Amino acid sequence: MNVALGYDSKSKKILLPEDIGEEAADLKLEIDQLNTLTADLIASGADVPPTPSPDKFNKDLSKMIKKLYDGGVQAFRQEKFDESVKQFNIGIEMIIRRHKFEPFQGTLQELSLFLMSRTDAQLKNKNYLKAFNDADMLLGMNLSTPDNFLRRGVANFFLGNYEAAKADYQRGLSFDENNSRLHTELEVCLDKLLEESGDIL
Amino acid sequence: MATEYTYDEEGDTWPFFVIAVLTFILIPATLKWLTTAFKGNDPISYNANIKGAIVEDAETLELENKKKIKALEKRQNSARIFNKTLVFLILGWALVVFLALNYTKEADLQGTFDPYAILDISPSATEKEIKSKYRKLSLKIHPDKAPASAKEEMEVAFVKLQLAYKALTDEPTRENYLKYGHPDGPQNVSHGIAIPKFLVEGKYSPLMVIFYFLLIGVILPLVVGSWWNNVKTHTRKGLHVDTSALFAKKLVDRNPTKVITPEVILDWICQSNEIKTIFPKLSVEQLRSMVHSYLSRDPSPLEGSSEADVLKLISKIPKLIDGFIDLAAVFRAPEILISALDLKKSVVSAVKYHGRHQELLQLPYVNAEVVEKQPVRKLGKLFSVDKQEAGKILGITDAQKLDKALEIGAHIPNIRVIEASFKVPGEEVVTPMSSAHLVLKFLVKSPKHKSAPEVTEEKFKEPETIEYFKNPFLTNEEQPDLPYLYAPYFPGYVKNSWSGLLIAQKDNKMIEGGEVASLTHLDLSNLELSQEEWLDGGKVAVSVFKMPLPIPTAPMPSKTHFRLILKHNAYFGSDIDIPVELVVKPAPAPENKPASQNEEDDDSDDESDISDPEEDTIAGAMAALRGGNVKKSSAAQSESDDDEDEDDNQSVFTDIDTDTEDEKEK
Amino acid sequence: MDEQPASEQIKISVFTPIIYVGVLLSSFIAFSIIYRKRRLEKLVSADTLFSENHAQNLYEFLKEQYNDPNASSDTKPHLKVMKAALLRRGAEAIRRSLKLKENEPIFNRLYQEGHIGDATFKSFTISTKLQEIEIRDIVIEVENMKKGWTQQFFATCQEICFNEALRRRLNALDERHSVLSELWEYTDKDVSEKADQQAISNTESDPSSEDHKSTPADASQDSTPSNNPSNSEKKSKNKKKSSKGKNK
Repeated sequence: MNVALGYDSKSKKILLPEDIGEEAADLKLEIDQLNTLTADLIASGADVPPTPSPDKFNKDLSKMIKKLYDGGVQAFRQEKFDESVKQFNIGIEMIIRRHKFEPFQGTLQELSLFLMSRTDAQLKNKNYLKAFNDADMLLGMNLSTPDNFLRRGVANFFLGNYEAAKADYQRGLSFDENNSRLHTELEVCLDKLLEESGDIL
Repeated sequence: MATEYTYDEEGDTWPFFVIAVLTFILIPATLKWLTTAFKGNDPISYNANIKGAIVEDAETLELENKKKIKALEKRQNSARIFNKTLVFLILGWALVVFLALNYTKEADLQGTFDPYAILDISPSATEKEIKSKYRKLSLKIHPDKAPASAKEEMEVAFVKLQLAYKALTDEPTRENYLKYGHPDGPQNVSHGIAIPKFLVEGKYSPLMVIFYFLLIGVILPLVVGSWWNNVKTHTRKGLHVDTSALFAKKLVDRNPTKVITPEVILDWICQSNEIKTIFPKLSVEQLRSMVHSYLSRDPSPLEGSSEADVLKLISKIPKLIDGFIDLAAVFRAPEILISALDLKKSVVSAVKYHGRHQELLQLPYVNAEVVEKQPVRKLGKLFSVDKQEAGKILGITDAQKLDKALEIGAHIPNIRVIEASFKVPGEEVVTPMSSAHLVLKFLVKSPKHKSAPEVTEEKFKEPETIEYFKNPFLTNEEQPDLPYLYAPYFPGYVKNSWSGLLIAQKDNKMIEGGEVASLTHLDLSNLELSQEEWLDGGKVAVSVFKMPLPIPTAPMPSKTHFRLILKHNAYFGSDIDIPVELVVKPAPAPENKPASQNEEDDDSDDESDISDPEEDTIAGAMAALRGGNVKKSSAAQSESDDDEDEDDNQSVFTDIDTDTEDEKEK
Repeated sequence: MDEQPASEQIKISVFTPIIYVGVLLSSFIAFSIIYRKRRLEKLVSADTLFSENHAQNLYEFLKEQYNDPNASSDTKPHLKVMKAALLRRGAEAIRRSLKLKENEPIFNRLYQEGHIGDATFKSFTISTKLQEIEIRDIVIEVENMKKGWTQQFFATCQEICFNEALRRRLNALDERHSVLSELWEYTDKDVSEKADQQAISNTESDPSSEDHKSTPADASQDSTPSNNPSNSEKKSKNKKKSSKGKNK
């Protein structure tokens, strides 16, 4: 390797020299991932990471995360959307900080709940591009529920991407043909499209 | 007598040899040059004959780039005519003429002897005719009758005449003639080499050896090798091998967190081998900035490259995008294909892909800054406000220019979908395990038209002949050719076309085995109709497009959802994106059931406690095929398209998502 | 006809045929050597599909340092670091194997239909084989580090792989935001507000009231969101959204 790596024996982390350029971005990513893994391993205290099984999920963390989630939902109900988003952000940060060898299924579940609620909060908070990104991520994780399509569709609508919104609603309907929410939003979207082209039905 | 070789001592045969070789090469080369040189077609005159076409280009519109484009066209045209081939051809033919005039001697056709010609009769003459002719001619050309000067010639001619008569009448002479072609018996036949002796056996003979060595040992392998290399360096689809390798690698190793925008695809294309060989000294960033300056229609010249270079680069890009799309279609990711098609649109129309005002920006004379600041984004809106308002929207103050721009805008074809469904040729419904195709019925609509006329089913009827049964896609070809594009900034002539993608809604991927379809024949005459004619519907032309479904339909009755995307190759606002359902119904049951059996069935159904079998089970399938009752399973689980179920998802979370779906419902 | 008188002798040296054959043979040999060399170069440069495997390199590097007898206690990595590096390497190997498996039918089809050349397809098969070898190497290392860990090791690695992928996606959200913002020429209310606050020195009061004040501020910027959803529609949507929130 033609990069001089440093090692800090106290924190047990690999260090990258400061002047590394853009090209070594993936190397930097690699080293970051390694350092976090080391930290996780040390923090877990065991000799080797335990076999992942649902009961190994860190309970205390779960409780804290759940509290944050509830806090966020409450703020949402009180229409304090900024506050709600903040709570969700912190919750997601905590999820990120979980040990990497904790069971993925549980992490995914937690995260999906947070993302869905954060999307809603961002939509209410009018940060439509952020909402779009969250909804996009949900769909990228193959959580193809009609609700998620609704979310991304609404985000697209407010971003001005009416054709994409229409496609999202229609895709959601393909999973649940009788979803009334999707039908209503689709109607609104179609009307908007007609209005945009100065056309009539 | 053994045939020995004589050389061309007198120097009269080698010109023929050289001429023969030269013409052998020159004639096909000339033909080829003629066809390429005068192939140039004028899109304006071609388009003028097609209804609904836009008959404008940079020159007619007096755009600021008109000089650049015209210069490039001129260069291309002249390059077609005045190139190295022409020089070669001129030299070659000049040499031929020179040799023919100066070096050839009269060919003495001593060898051939044609009695019929000498006697001046047809080959099927009778003996009587032969005799009478002979008598007549012998009187005419008797040597005694000839004047002194021509005496010798007469004698020769008279002898010939006698020989001819003999050849036809006298038996042994005749045999000789038939056997050897000459009544006097076998002639002295000599074979010669049409090269002067000094070349072969004199001190110049090493030259000949070297020449042959070069020809066979060097030139031949070079030619064959370079041809073979050319074949090997390009994939079957026309891309350079390195380029396809680059694209494949980028697509395989792509970061799932990265959004594939047209910018990314442009970046990949600028790294391709084809572009690199044309511009070896330019970096990828420089190439990208060249493209961006073209897209923003920036008249100021770029540093480091000339305008001609920019146009050259642009002209190569659509073909590379097509190659990329072919490859990316196998990866089945629709977002990538859509981004690539958007990039192609931008490049051909010279409209940037950032922002959302492309529909208006594609028109000529518009003021980009004005357009981007205001909320109107679609062409249709321009035609729903009065002209002054439209002028304000586009930022055009000159009335004539505004008219032209609106005229062009009115000829951007929009698609109004009437119906999209799947059909199996020869069947009323879509049956299981059959090969179906998508039928899209639509109307071509101008942005200036509002609403749509009523169209009856009658208009879409197609003849049910054997040809259509065997190949339902014939209707795609039968519609008129599409005209050339309105693309005044693009170097070169491209015809209108649409690209079609069929995507499965369930996993948002193109269908396995699917390709990007191409719509190249369409009747655009609707664009010329007025609003009244449009609404009236009498003159409105209907259009049909068919796309094949590459996989057989599901084996059991089911409903599968698809999404059809049609994207135009240059215009913005001409695309459609619609959901399509594929409903597989059981094959119609045989009609001749005896009445008694029917009654029995009814009785048993009323009495039985067993509920009807579920749709998805085997019992259900059997019942369905028999025409009995089946209980429909919930819509979310009715997709039984096996191929799609087996597909791996692209994301890493393959084994996880199904569980979380149920969890989420809490 | 002219015939060579039999007595005339043409003098050719004894060496002529030898020279001729020699030249011929040497040119053939030279050609074949050069050609093979070029082909070998091409094959070597037609590298694997993936970019450099940093995880593997890192592990090797650390292992060297670990096993280096001259290293001081400062530079020698801790055992846990080694384990973490090995786990990382395992996770990366799993990620690559999954990706290769996913792309196998695609590459087969690409090759069959003539979209890619022989070299590319070959590099794909080479990559697959290399990956197998890599996994075998990892197993050896695992056994060396701790006996009997292999089974558990790969199960853990799989979890790590998926978890890390999730983290990467989450962390990339910001970048996606900026890319899409540029492509669609749209800035979120939050972002445009922050820009406002920096541009205009006199800021308004608390954030909640900026809801209304942001609209004129937005219009003054260049990259205005050009969507004007009617207010009534927005309100009706908001109502629906809040009822949706209650369903949680």
